[in-house]
Amino acid sequence: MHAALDRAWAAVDRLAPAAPTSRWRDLFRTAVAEIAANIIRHAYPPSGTARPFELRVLVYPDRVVALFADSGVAWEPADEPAAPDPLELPEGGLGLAVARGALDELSYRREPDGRNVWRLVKRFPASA
Amino acid sequence: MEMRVEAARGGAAIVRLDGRLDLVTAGEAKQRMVETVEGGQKRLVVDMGSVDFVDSSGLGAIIGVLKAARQAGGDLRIACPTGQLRSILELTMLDRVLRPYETVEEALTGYE
Repeated sequence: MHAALDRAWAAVDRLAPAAPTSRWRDLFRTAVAEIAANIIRHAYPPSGTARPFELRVLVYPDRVVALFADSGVAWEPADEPAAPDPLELPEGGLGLAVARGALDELSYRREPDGRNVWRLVKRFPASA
Repeated sequence: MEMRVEAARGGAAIVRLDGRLDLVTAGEAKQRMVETVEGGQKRLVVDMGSVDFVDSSGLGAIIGVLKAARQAGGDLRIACPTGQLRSILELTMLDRVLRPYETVEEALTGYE
């Protein structure tokens, strides 16, 4: 996953109107990692060893889009914990909130063929 | 993920992590740091300078160790945050409760 993103940065550098800052890259990488972790944790039974998912990173002139697809169980929006209070020192349940905060768009779709698709969008910063 | 523990002055211990602290490594890292606390080193400084990526599982591990240390009458401080660590601390608003120190030296200052 990290290697796939490293490859995507080369395309980002060619297409982005201004080179995104390292903070912009960190945010996108963080969001991608959180969604991957969410799939690994929730889409597959704990006993299963293989937890395959597909990741495509699409680079457009104005944004980068990551698409995750897996064939695990459907994600129930109700499974998402309420945003925990940082003062309570939460040890889990932060992943989707982190991803959402790092992105411009995050959406989930259950396809009729039984696949889960997560779509992550982050727009390039406006060129100076 | 590599982990080394060094004794520091004043009874604090410096935990140096290297690699990624994420879904894959968080459980073991937490367990080893909690064992350090249970072994009597209740005040930890975690040097994050060589950790190139932290996800929410990794932060959860740090929070778990922080709780264990406080329960034992100690504490945990993090030092040398990378830009990515600062970003995820802000996104989770955990920067309010886990404010990173710029250097290990600063984290050790007044840590009795």
